Amino acid sequence: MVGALAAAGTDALQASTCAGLTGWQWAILGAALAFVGGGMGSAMGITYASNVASGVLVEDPDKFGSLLPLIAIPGTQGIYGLITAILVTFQFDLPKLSGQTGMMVFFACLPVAFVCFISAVFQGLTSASAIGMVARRTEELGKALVLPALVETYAVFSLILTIFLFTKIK
Amino acid sequence: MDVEPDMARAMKTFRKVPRYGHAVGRIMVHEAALLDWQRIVRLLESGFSECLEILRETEYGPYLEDAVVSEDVEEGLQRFLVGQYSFLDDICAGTYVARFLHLKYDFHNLKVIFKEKCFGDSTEDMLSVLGSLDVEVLEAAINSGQVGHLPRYWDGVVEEVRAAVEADEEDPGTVDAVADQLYLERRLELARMEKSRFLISYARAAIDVANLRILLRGRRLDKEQGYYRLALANGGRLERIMLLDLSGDAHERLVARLISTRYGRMLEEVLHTEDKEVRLTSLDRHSDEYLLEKLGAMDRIRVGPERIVRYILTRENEVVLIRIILQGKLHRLTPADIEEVINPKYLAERG
Repeated sequence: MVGALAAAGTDALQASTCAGLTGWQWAILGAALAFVGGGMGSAMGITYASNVASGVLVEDPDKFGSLLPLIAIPGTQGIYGLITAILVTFQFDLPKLSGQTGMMVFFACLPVAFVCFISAVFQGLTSASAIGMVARRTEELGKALVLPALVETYAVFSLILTIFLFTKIK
Repeated sequence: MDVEPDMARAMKTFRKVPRYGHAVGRIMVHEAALLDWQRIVRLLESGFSECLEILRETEYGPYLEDAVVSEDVEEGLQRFLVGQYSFLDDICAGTYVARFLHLKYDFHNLKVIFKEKCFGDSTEDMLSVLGSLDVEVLEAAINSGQVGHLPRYWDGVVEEVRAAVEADEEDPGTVDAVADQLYLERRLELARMEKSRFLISYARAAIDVANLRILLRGRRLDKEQGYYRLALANGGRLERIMLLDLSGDAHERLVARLISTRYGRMLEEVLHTEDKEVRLTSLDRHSDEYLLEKLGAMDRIRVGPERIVRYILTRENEVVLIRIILQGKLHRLTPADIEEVINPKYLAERG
């Protein structure tokens, strides 16, 4: 009797883990990775743009208002990472997630984790070039903003995909 | 051209940001103030006083506003360059970029002082204040032999040039040959210390171009093998040993070998079609143009030392251009005559 109960308990535990991690461990890992990817990318992208902008501002402090959107724009990927992490914690009942479902949540977080990291770094590079345009002519700000905004598109797509995948996970 | 994955290249670029980002931002603002083609055309077509009026609207204004005679123009442009170099020192603190650019003036001063000491040439108005070494300290070190006050690298340079001059007291060209060789090699060393792929590539191309000039000019002047040993610099893409080897070859073989190198296209343009002789003045011009093209190809987008170097060298070319135009106006040359003197590649940067 005791042996049968122990065997049933072990089976239940095995069913709730996948590749050695429980469902909520997988989900938390996905949430953390999404935020780390987006956050790191944004921090690097903003550092890049703000380093160049600081030089422009030393020479021409009046350009601060024009440059601020270009410095801030690589920061959005960090926000997408945060949104993903919050969605994971609120949309799923973490303690009750099976191992398999948790793993699905983890994989659904990957688009944001990777695309946001890479796009934020490249957006920082694009913003730095766009800052060069504004340094030459302030009236070019509109055009200059379009360039990093194009890089942003793919970060937005990754967030949409991640949210879409979340809705499909039962 | 080595192929790097985009991400790896982006990360490498990212590592340069804390080092150059601020400097490049400041450069971006000054790049906007470079003279454009329309303004240069206006300068060419105007009289001297109208030129000063046009330049008043630019960064040159405060330096040239009271210029009346040739000396005023020289002095004003010199002050402008001093301002540019002090800006460079300000933005490049902690890197080798400023030293990379100051170096040519230090070696220029070294040559002038040596020539005065050994051959009695006048140094009046010849010394430049754009070097990183104090001219008086350099002068004292060369004249007295006490090199203790010079920075570590320079004591060896002074000794090496002194030894070469003592070995060949007849020829002032020895000073140029040794100093130019040491300058080119040192510049490559600084580029390597800066770990900049673009600066290294530029410094190596400059060595090759200088070595080609030495080789082809030396052949024309029937120079001995010893001259090539003294003058050819190490570090270019064309091996020095190969060039030394070629210096003893027949002219046809020398030309054929050089044509097969990466500089073949440039050399083909300066060769007479009939006798395959090299037109030396064309060689100078074409090799200058080659280096300007190299400079133009430096990355205009990425944050790195190349952008700073490109800006300063473009400014120097601009100063040369303004000097030619203003001196031409003072000497009542026609716009067509002045335009003939200007190297069109100087203007390539401005489109």
